[in-house]
Amino acid sequence: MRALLVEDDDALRHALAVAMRAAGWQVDEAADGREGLYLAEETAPDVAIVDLGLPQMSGMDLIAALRGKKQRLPVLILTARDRWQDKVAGLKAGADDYMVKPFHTEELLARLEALVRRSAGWAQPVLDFGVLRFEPAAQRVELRGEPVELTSFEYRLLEYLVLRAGQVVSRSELIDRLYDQDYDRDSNTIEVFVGRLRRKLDPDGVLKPIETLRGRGYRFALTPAGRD
Amino acid sequence: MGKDSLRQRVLLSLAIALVVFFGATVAALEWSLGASLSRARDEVLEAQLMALIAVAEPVEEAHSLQLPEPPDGRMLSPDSGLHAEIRDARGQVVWRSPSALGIEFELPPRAGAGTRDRWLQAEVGGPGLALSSMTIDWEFEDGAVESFRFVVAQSLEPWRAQQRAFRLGLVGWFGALAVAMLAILAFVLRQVMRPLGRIEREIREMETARREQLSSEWPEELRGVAANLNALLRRERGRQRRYQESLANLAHSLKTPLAAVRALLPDSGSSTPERLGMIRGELSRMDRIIGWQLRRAAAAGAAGGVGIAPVAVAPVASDLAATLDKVYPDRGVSCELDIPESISFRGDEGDLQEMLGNLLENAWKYGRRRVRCSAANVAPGIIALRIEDDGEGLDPARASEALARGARLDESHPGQGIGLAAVNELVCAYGGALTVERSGLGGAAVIVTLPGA
Repeated sequence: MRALLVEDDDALRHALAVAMRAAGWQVDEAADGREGLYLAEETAPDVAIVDLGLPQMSGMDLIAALRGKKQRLPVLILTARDRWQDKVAGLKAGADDYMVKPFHTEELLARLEALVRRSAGWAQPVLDFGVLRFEPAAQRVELRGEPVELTSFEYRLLEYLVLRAGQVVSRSELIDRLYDQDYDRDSNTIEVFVGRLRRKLDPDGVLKPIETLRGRGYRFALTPAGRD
Repeated sequence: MGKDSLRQRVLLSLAIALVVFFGATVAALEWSLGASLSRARDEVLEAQLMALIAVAEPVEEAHSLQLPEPPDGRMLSPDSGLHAEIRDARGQVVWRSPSALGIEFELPPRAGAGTRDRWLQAEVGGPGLALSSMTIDWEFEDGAVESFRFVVAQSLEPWRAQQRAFRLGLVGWFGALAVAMLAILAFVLRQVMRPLGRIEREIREMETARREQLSSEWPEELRGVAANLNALLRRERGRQRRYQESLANLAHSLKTPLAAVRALLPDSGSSTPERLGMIRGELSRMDRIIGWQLRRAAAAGAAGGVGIAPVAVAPVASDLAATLDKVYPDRGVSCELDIPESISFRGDEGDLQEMLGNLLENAWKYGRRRVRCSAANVAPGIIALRIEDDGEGLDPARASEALARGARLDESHPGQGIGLAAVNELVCAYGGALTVERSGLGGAAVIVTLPGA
C-alpha cells in the first residue's frame, strides 16, 4: 500500500514514516501542502495523512484541492487542535478521519488500514470470503478457522489483492505498491511470493484464490460471503 | 423609576424650586395686597369719620352734640359691622350708633384737636375691628369750646374675605401652573432621556446576544459615549480572543513535538521497557494536562458571551452526527435527531460544538446501535439538550465521579471522564447544569441546560 504523508514537522514526519514503513507501507513524504498535492497526483497513493497546519498551502486547502480534482483517496487529518470545530471543519472539507496529536502510532496504523479497507468498499472490519477470512486491523488471515502464518511481505501482497478482489492487478502495480522506490525491481520475486501464498492458502489446490492472467497480472478470485 | 433616576431627580428638584418660587411670590403679592387693602380701609374710615362729623348737630344749651340721623344706614343695624360713637372731653359717650350695641371700643389716650388715630381691635368671636378716631374742638354759639372725639369702627370681615379670596385664587392658579409646568417638563425630559433608554435597551440586547454593538445614530451628547463603549467592547473582545488564541497556540505548539517524541520512542520490546513505559505515561499525562487546561481556558472565555449571535442547535448537531458517522463507520450507530429549528443557544458556536461533540462521541462509543439527541425550550431563555444511547448506562453515583476533574471511568475508552468533565466545566461557565439519568433507550441520558436565545 502506498501512503502520502504530509507533515511539516520533520521529526514527527520522519518518525511516522519509519513506523509506517516498518508496518509495510510505501510512504511518500511531503513537508508542505504544495508538495503534498503534487505527490498525490504523481504517485496515486491509497491513503493520505495530512497535517492541518501546513506551510504554503493549509491541510484544509490541500484536501479541498484533492477533492476538487475528483481524487477519491481516503484522507486522515492530523490536528493539534482537538476542538470539535476543527474536526467538523476538516471532515466537512472532505477528510475521512482525524487524529489528535499526540497519538499512538499503532492507532494511526490501524486507522489507515481501516480507511483503505473502507475505501475498497468493505464496511465491516472482517473481510469474509467464507473459508478465508481477513482481519486487516490485526493483520490476521484465517483459513477454515485456523490462522495462516504469513510473512510481512506475503501479507501485504495478499491484502493488496484481497482489497481489490475481482479486479486485475498488474505486476508493475504490485511492484510499485509493495517495494521501496530504490529497491531492485525484479518482477520474478512477485511470482515467487504469489506461489508461496498459493501454497499457504490453498495447500490442496481446490480453492484457487489467486488467478494468473497471462500478460495482465493477478486477480483474487474468491467472492465475499453474502455477496453472491 | 428608581431612587437614583435622573428624571426623578430633575423633577423633584424643579418641584421644590417651583414651590419655593411660587410660595415667595404668593407671600410678596399678599403683603402688597395687604398694604393696599389697609390703605383703602383707612380711606373708607376717614370718609365715614368726615361724614359723621358733618351730620353732627350742636345742642347749644347742653354744650353737647346730637345726631338726628347717622350718615350711613348701616350704623342703625346691629350686624352691619359699621359702628360709630362720639365722646366728650370727659370720656362720656355723647352718641353711639345702634349697631355698636354690646361693643366696647378700646380707645387710645386722647390726642390734641385735629389729630387722627388709627388702630385695630380684637373682637370676641369675630374677625376684629379697624378703628379710626378724630378729636375736634367744637365752638358753640355762646363762644364755649368743647372737645369731642368722633370714633368710627368697621369690622375687618370684608377685608379678610377679600384677602382669602385673593389668596385662594392665587394659590389655585399658581398650583395649576406648577403642575402644568412639571407635566411639560416631564414630557420634555422623557423626550430628552429617550436616547438613554435606547442605549440601555441596546446594551440589554447585547447581553442577551441579540446585538453585537451599539448602533450609530445618537444625539451629539451621547455619540461619544456610544463610540467609546463600542471601542471598549471591540478592544475587550479582541483582548479575549488574543488571550485565548495565545493560550491555544502555546498548548498546540507543544503537541506536535509531543507527537514526535511519542512516535520516536522505540517499541516497548527494546532494552528498557520499564523506562519507556514511564516516558509514555508521562507523555500521556502531559497531553491530558494540556487538554484539560485548554478546555478550561475555553470554558473561562465562554462566560462573557456579550455580543455573540445566537447559534441554531440543529445544524451543529447534524454536522457532528455526520462527522461521527464518518469517524466511527464500523459501529453502525443510527442517530436520531429531534431538534426543532427554533432552538438556539446563546453563546459561542465552538463551545456548543465542543459540548455536543463530546457528549455525542460518548454516546457513539458507549451505545450499541442507537443514539438520540433531542432539544427543547424548557423555560424562557433556557434550552435543554438530551443525549441518549442504548449502552450500559451510567450509574448516577459514578457519573458525579466522572464529572470530577480528569476522572476516567473506563480505560478502554480513554478520555470519557475528561470529556464529560470538560463538558460540565463549559456548561457551568454558561450557568447551566449537567445531569445524568437512565435513558428510555436503555443506556445513559445526559441532560444539559444552557442559555437559549
